[in-house]
Amino acid sequence: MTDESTDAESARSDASASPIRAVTGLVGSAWSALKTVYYANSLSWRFLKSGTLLLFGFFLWAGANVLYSYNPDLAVLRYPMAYGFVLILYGPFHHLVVLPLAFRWRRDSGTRRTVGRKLPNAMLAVFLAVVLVLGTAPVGAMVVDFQSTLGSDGSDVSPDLICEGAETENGTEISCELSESEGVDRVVVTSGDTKLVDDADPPYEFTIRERELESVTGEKQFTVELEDEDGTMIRRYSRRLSMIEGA
Amino acid sequence: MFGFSTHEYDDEGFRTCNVTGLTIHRSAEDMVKLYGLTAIVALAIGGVFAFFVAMTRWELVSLLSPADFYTYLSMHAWNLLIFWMIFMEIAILYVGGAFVLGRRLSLPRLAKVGWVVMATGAVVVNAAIWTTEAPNQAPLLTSYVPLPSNWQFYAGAIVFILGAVVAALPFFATIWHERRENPNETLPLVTFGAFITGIVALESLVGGLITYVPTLLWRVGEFSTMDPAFYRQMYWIIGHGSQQINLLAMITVWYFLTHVLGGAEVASQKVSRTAFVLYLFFINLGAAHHLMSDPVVSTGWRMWNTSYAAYGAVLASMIHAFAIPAGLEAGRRAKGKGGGLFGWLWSSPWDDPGFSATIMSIILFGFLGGITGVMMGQMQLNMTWHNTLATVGHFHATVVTGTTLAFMGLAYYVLRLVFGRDWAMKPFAKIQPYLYAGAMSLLVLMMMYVGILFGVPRRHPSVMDIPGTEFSFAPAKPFFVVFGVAALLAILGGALFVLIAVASLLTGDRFDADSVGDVTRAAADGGDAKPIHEYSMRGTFTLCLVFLATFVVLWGLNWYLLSTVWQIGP
Repeated sequence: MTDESTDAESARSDASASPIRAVTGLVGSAWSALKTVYYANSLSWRFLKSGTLLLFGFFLWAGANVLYSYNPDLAVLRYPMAYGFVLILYGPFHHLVVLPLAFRWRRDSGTRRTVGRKLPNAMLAVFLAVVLVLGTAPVGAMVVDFQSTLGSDGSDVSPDLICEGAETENGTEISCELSESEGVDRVVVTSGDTKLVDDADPPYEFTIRERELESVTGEKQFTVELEDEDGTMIRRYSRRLSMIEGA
Repeated sequence: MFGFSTHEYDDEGFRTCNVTGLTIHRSAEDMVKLYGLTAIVALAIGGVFAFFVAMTRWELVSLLSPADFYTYLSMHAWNLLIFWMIFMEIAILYVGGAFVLGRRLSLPRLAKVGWVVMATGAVVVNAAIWTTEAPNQAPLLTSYVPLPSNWQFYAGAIVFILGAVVAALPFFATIWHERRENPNETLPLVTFGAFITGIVALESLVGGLITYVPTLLWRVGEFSTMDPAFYRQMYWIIGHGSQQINLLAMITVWYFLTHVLGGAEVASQKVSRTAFVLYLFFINLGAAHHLMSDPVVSTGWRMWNTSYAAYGAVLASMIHAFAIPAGLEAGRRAKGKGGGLFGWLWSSPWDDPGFSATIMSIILFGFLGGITGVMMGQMQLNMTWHNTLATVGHFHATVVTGTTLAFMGLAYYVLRLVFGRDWAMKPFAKIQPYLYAGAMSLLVLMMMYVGILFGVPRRHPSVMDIPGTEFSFAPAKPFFVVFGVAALLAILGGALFVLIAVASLLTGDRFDADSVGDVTRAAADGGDAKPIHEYSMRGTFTLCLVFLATFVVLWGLNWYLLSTVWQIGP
């Protein structure tokens, strides 16, 4: 670490000497600060750096993937994508394993000492080579498909439930029908704990009486559930009596 | 209280903390213990339910049925977002008030009454959620009408809110007595922050009463109808307001712990206090983003809340984001503990879980929670975030990697300085904040990815196969694998914290201040006589540039994503 006052004085004298020297001094300071962070080797800092690189890798990988999915012609995006993808695993590995190992070996003698000196940069070179290879020839797992959220393997069943009320000699009756019945295999109507209708015949028109309905929070209401051929619920409608015209 | 304490008090009931130098009265200390321990119990309960919720959203496991999912999610939300937070925040009010001012806690009986009422409300809410049966719905956190929940749930919520109001009164009374006795002295910054927190809390709690009292009357049949639009508007005063209490309490804790553990000073009292005042006026308006997809609010309302008001709140956050690390940097440089650009960081006590939890809370809240909050709080960008799992990612980044982590850091020192117990399982205590923060960060990131990039909805137990729709979220499966593993690790980290806290109370050695190590770092009189703002803060400036660059990139990427949703023109 450099001394505080010396730092400040040298920066001031550099700046007054020439702006170019000031800029180069600033870049030099930034580079040495970056190296200090890179070589920091306490357990907590290893963890902090690993975590940062892991999150940064995820961010780069996903961000580049998103942009690439909308701009498949921009092949250059595959390189930040590959960089992020490899960084997710290699970033923590480099700071948790490679650097501490290199520092330990440097304190030995002979081959270990030599390998210890060369290991970090050699591993970085391998890392960059892998990034270049993956960026040039992306593997399947690296490229995420964000565009297939809307698939064509299922049908979108979303009919309207149309209900009308009418006064009859038996009191108010509510008649309901579906705007379309394709993809629907069964209709179940309940109110509270009571099942009112269980209809497996298209077009699933049904009529229920007001007096059959149970009150929830002071309002009479009923629920209509649509099921597919597997018996899976695909739509659920809740209707309060006050919502229905004529009821 | 509880027989865990190792401290001795003078005849007046005061003692001097040999680490912080604070004069602490038993009346306040007992209440901090009571509220702090209750908060940890709520954290443990909520954490258990976190396991079930996460293992259901990870559909490879699909632990719960859809009906159970909402009950478990409601238990998770109420115990963690409300009970863990607010019990801890009341403790923080007493620390920021009576502790920092060196006074007795005014109206100590009210503090006890407040705890009884709050605890009663919390138990009732838990019981009401757990016993939910049709036609009632599990309330989640929002309990939107006209979906009915147990009337006991609304009653429990009202009781809890009233209890929190009562528990806050001793803090305000303490401040009032302080001002009466010392009218010409300024409140210390931590007390000032707690005071603003208290005001925002009262706003929020009153909003809660305006919401839940009519809703209870509707549920028991006194009101025939309840306007959902009115409910949503009023609910979010407490729904989001309670999270703003978390924010302010967390920032107050940041100032306190960075000073006590890192030797931080306040770079500028006026600037930091101005930021707190900006929060007072603008932070609650951040709730507006919840109503951006509602038809009832006007364009003017939307624009005011998501632009002008948001700028006030974000400016305040930006000020704190610089002021706290800058205070740490300048304070450490003043004590001769920082050379070069990041020397003040190298020399920091990273193996101290109180310190590491606080610093990671600052970093993660800013990068993950703050940036996303500003983005999704915008009228336009909100369209791509609303009701997706990314929203859940945002508030887990703020409330978990931010607030919970900061409160854990505080709790470590409540164990030491208030209970007088040293940490049991020390090696685990050192790694717990890293494990929890790291796993939660990954979890949060995955939530954001699947939400914003795939549109995976929130509050839904099964999205991989939604019958009767063309949606397929199958490409998101790899992200959910990371989500699931990270969730398990995060829950492990949370459980480890609870275990350490309980073990420390039951088996911890008597805490000796010397074991803090570099006690002088907490001394406010370290260094020379140079004003603190004259020390270099270039390290913080550099970190803030990195933060702003990240902000700009994410901002641009989100606008780009929004621009791909539809096209204007040929």
